[in-house]
Amino acid sequence: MKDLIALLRTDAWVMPLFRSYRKPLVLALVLGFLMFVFASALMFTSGYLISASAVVATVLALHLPLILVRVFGIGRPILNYLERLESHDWVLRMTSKLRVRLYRAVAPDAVRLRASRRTGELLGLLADDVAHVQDLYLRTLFPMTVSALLYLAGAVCLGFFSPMLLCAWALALGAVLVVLPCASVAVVGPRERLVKRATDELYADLSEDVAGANDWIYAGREAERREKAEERLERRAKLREAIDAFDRARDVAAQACFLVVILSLVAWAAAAFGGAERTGTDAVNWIAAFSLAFFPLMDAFTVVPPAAERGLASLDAVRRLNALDAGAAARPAPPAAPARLPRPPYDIVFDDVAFSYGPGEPQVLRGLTCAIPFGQKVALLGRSGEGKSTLVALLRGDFAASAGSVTVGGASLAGAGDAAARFVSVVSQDAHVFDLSIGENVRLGRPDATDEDVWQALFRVRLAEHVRSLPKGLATLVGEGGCRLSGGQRHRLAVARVLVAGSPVVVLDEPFAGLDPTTERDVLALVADALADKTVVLVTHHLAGVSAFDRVMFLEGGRVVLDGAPQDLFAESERYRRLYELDNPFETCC
Amino acid sequence: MDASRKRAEGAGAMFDRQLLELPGIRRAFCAAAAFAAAQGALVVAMAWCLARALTNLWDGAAFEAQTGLLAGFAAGFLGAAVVRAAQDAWFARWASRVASAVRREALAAVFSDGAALVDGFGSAAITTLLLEDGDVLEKYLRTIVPRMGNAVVVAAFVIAALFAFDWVSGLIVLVMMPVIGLYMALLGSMARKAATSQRAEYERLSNAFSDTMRGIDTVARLGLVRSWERSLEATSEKFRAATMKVLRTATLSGSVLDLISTLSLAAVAIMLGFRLVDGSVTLFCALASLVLVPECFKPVRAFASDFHASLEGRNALAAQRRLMDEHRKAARRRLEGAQRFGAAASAGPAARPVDSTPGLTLSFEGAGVDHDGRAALAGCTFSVRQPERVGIVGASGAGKSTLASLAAGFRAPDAGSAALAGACAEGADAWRREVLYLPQAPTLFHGTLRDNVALYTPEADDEAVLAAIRAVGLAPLVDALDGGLDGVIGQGGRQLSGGQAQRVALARAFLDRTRRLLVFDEPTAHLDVETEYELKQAMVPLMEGRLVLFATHRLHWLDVLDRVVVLAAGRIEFDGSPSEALRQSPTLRAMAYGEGRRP
Repeated sequence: MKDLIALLRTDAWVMPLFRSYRKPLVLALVLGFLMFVFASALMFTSGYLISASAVVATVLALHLPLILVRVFGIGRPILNYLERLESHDWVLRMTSKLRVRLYRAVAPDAVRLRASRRTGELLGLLADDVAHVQDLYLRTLFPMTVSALLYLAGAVCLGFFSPMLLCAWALALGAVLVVLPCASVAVVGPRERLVKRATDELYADLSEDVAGANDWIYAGREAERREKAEERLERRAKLREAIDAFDRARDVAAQACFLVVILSLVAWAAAAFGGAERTGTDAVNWIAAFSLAFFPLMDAFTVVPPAAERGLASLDAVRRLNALDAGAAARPAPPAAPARLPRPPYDIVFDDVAFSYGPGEPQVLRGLTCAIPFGQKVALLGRSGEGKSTLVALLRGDFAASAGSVTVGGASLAGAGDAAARFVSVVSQDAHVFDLSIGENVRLGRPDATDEDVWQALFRVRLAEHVRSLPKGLATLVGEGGCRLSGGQRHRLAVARVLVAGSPVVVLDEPFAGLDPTTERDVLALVADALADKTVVLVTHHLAGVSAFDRVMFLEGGRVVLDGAPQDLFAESERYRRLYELDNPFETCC
Repeated sequence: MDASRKRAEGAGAMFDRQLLELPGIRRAFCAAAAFAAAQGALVVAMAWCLARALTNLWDGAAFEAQTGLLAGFAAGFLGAAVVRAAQDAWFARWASRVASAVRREALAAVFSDGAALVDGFGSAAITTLLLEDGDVLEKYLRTIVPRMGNAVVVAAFVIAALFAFDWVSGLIVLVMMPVIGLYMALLGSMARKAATSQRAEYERLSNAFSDTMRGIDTVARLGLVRSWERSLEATSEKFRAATMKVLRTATLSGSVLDLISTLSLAAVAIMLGFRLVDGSVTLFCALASLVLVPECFKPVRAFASDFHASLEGRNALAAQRRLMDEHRKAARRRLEGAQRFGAAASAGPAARPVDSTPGLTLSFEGAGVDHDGRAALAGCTFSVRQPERVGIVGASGAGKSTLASLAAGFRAPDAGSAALAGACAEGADAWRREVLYLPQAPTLFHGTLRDNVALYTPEADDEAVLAAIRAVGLAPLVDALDGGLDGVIGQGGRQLSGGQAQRVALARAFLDRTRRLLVFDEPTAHLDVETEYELKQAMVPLMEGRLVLFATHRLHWLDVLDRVVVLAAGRIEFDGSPSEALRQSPTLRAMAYGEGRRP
């Protein structure tokens, strides 16, 4: 409970948004409030109308009640419709703003975030969190605020009439609006957390089970595994049963509170307007009016305890979003923008570079020194985790070296942000293909590229024919994550982007993983040809097609251990020869 | 999915024929009707008592005299609440049982068909089905049946009572009911049309944000951080406008129900007023009618309210149906191909043979596999005999993996036959006992290193496990792992590199010498060349004396293989020794020497 209040006080994401969109929010709340007022007024007026009709001689005397019944009868649905539209419009606007803010918080640091392990899920969660904030408003905050307004309005009105009535109203409904929600949060909150954890664990376990089902079957142990899975599912089901039982009891308790209010109203109305002495007067007509008026309001109040429960999940989202800021503060500050930008010739110099991802992390690079003159084609090899991708990240300025310097054309690119892409283009293994058209995807390399440029690039990566065969050509949408293209085609699209960008240094970070050797060799040759006048750094774990390169470097232990032209290395290094033969078993010379 | 989007999409029929096929559904409907009848009776009793009490009070009676009636009202009111709770409890239990049964069925299917089912359906889709879809289905079942029951039976009770109190009010409500149905169907289809006509574009807009999030480092690398923000804002705005357009119609559909129920109440009140003046109805009946009318519409509103849950519920049911269909297809294939998927047990020893016991023969006779209508593999005929080592070579998409999975016994061929002779068991079991399958990404599960290595041989002692680990070069991992052999790997534990994972798989093969058929499916293609070299040194001893099938496009493996089968477009192009293949197979020559290069 305490951390809830603390969260609401320190929240810098959601509450400020609510505040900046105050007017539409207030409008929606007013509409919601009026909607229930009209509903109650409809019953009130109908109760009076019917009671009065029983004594009146002509209908004309009931002129006013008749009109009011019509007004309230038509007004309520209209208010309902308007309120829903207003609410959703407001929520959608707020969500847009939230997304942009989330983007701004994450994007500049994107590459650094990726370096930490849990990013994929974190980013996915964050995208969902925006939807949770929507829910927070629509299913929790809105109904609770409207109920609170009704509660206060009712208290004020009834306070006029009778303190006893006010007491009954305040206590009974106070129980529904305050006691029951707090009880729900206290009892259900921890259980919901258990269920959530059980669900997350189940998800991980079931994924494993399904992916590895074959192995378990072949090991003859599938029964054991299946029983474990069933048992885990059972345990989770039991947890949820307990929550449901509580919810049911709580709902019955709420109904009991409503009963108290209704009976109090009847008792008071009977005392105030009833009795033998008032028979035949207009007063008695108010008995039914007051007695029935509360019924429609029950709809507003019943949703509050469940809304409080639902709000808990949404609050987790708010917590995560706020944690982003804390996380950002905890990470080392990004390097300051460089004093000047690279100038030709775009020679690359690594001077005694050391780097680790953080204070507790192992040294990835130690005293790395090498120079790559402009126009050279370099193949960079090494085992996974030896620092190849780190080297690329430093080159591009995503991180600043802990010691030593990395310069391109005489200037470091650390902290250059968007500008770095003008000088160093990187195609990585996990280059994302966006859900846009082929042309738009390629143009991401250089937004002002013409169609000609795009076709040229596609031709060079051997995609032009395929794209021409498509009915919509360049305008064909590639689907989510590029799902309409094969893996190889996606890679080539990413390379086409870089061709269009035209930066002086091009880095290809294992761009051909998963392609068969023929295609890999051909595309490498094409790329080497298209980038003849640029510096190319190819990070790879194979020596296929390496003869197209001027220089081969091996990284090991954070340093360069083998470095030279392919022919020279073949002649001088036994280790190189051995590995070369693995990749090129049928060549007599390199 | 956005809440707004859910509402926009949700207009649709809630009832699904698939519902009728669920176990115990008849009993559930009866139970729903019974609970609803109880509720209906209590609601009518409640209305009767309240109306009577209010009429008496209007007549001038004392409040104290009404205590009995008010107690009756209280009993009815609370009683209805308790019956609702009991109904919820009953249906929660029923839905949980049905969802459990569905999950258990799916799990059983997965653990009996294995790869044959998982590869076809998709591993992520199955996990979603087991978890999320199961939950959605439960929620759907738990609400749809009782609400249906309430909407029909409670409404029927209340309308009947209305007729008893005042036939005009009853008539008004009775006439409004089908009008509601009609309007909702009409507006529902309008909303659905609005949603579907723009669906593709709408999907794209709504996924734009998560697309951005997933590719955000690509955005950063392309230097587009600032300009992307502008386009994100523009896309969000377009999405908002599109959603509001659909919502305007979708909200109308819900509002119509609201309008009709509120207008009915108003109409009833006005009619009652007139008729009271006339004297054609008594105050008691009028008041009772007034209380009952909203109770008619409440269950109908509840039934109509949870559109999106019912849409998701129906999808969950459909997904489960699809999975079971796949399962039945796989079982059918196995049954039909029983003679094709045969194995003859050797007449020999009762004990399990060790790996060097020769005699295992794998043969394919015109084997073919269909995938999505086209033939991934066709007319494959060849046989291999222990201790041969055969390579399966070809470009990607040529059918290597398909042939490997046939050889490993994952599935029966769609045409022709595959047989494993000289095995230690019969039928599909033969494969399961004799095969060790080593793919690119071996299965590692959340557990200790020891458990992972001893997957096939849980009885192995630590000595044996350590020996296997050392033999495959995994010893550095044991040292680096917290807890050594007891260190946890897999999901939630320490992540292993590609090379280390492959070594775990090799250690398994090392430990289990009883399996004589080794099927490798591109085990090292994704690894760096130095790790590949080391793994190759570790793999060769494993192949001693066993029957080996090695699918790969890395041609250096040819020097440890006796024979090579070259696949091109799903057919065997060449079958013979590696040196002959290099001379005669055009596909292999192209792969080895490239275009325009000489040997």
